[in-house]
Amino acid sequence: MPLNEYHTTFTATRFRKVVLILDASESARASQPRIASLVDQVLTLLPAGTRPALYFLGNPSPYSVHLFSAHAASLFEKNRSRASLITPIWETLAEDDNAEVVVIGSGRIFDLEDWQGSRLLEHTLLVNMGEMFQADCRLAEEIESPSAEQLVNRLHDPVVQVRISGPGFMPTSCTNAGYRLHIVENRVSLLGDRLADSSVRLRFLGIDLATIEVVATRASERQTVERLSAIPPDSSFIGSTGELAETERTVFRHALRGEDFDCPLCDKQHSWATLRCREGAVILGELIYPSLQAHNASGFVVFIATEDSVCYEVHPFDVLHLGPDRVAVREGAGAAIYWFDERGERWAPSGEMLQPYGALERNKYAILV
Amino acid sequence: MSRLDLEVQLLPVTKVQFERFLAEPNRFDDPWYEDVLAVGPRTSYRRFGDSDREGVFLTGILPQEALAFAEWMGSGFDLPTVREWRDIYVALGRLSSFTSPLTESHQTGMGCQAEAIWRRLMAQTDGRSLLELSRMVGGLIEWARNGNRWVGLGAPRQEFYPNLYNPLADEVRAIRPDRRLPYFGFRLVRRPP
Repeated sequence: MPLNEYHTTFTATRFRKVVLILDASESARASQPRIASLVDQVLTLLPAGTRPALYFLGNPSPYSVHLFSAHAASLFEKNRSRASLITPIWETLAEDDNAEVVVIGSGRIFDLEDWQGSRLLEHTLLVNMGEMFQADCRLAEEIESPSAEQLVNRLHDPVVQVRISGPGFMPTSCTNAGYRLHIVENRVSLLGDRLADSSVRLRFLGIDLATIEVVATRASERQTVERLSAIPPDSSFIGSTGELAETERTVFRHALRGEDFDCPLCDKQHSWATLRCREGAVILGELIYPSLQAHNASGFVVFIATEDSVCYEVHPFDVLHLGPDRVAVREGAGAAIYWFDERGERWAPSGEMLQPYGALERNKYAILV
Repeated sequence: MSRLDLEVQLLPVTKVQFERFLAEPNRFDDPWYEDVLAVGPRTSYRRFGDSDREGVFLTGILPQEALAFAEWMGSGFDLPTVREWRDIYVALGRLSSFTSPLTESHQTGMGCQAEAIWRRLMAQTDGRSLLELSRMVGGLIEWARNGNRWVGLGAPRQEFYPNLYNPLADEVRAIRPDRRLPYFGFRLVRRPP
């Protein structure tokens, strides 16, 4: 299948919102001191980023978590005669609220079955402190009397890795410098390890947006699979841009013809493929294009040449789209050219390296600095 | 029902409907509901089938408890008298054309739970007379007031409660009015102020 170019975005939340729902019913009365103590410790241990919310079964109005420690007894008493129903609370939580729900109590929840198959129930942990919540069939995970540390480890389960991949996937631009390209057996993925923020805007080549997966792995090794969202074409993927000065244009035109040129930095002649002048004090050499040096350009640079001018675009990402089914992938100081095997739906190295001023399309040429 | 000068619930009170009341702090707490469900087990309104649809409705309820719910519902809500129940029955039976509320769903303001129940009932009920859809036939025995006494009216299907009742002629009298009966439920009417 042919490749398409996609502009997408992914927004990650490192912490899930934690919703604590307490059982104040008669069946949980005997366990109330243990429930209160557990909640107290959990609220102390949870990071603030989890934005914990506190409810009681049957009551759709949340309580401030800051009230709990001092007013636990009266809060339980106020909610004692409410039936053990979860619907009044869950109706107020939007399905996409990214909430991790914990119900702490004892005894049956009458309406749990009404939420079978819902995203909320999938992200619910039942913590029974005495009598089981689910006697007949298990609709949600249920654990018995955990310690506060055990419960917090379950709830505070940050994302430690994000992997983006799919059939034909080849990223060509990425706004989050924390991600790195990963190619194994010609399968391409974008990996972000322990990023403070995994959110990213991404441009990539692929067969079908719907087949691209974002797999988030948490500290507990639990994985969730999400999707990228399409956005309008985004020009901000390109880094610095500008126009070469006259002396730089001269260098460029000589180099394009494979001719040695007079270096604007040291006035000596350099080979056409030279990109850095090492005559100066700088150990690695300075770029022979002062305009690019001024931007501290790193990565691929695309020159767009017309009769009168030569403009440039800096592409900071490790992949440059060369043309239909071809990309250059930065490998150390060079860039290997990969081509797309349509039948195998994977990218394969061609064995060639990108040469300086490699032609992309009409009047466009690329170098790697 | 303008001819009868009162409003009537389309269906008997369901468990999810009654649970709105239970979620409030009142004397109807978990042990109370456990007793009720022991008599009439709960079926999820999202998943009831042909064989267990009565589990969606609240049964095993006593008349005074049903009245507490009616009072919570607001001004004018009450259980019907025997005469009112039968008038409703006759009126529904005479309706020759019936438009499901779902064809005008954007106007009815049906809650999502009520709509879900109605859709499933429509899919399951043969014949689709309004008497059947409203469960006045093939539903429960429903509490109704006869003077100072409480009696039951209805014609449940045989699979739920074997009977030969004619709701227009027969009243079902509970031998022990304080005992929960698994086939007794109720629906509300609302009388104008």
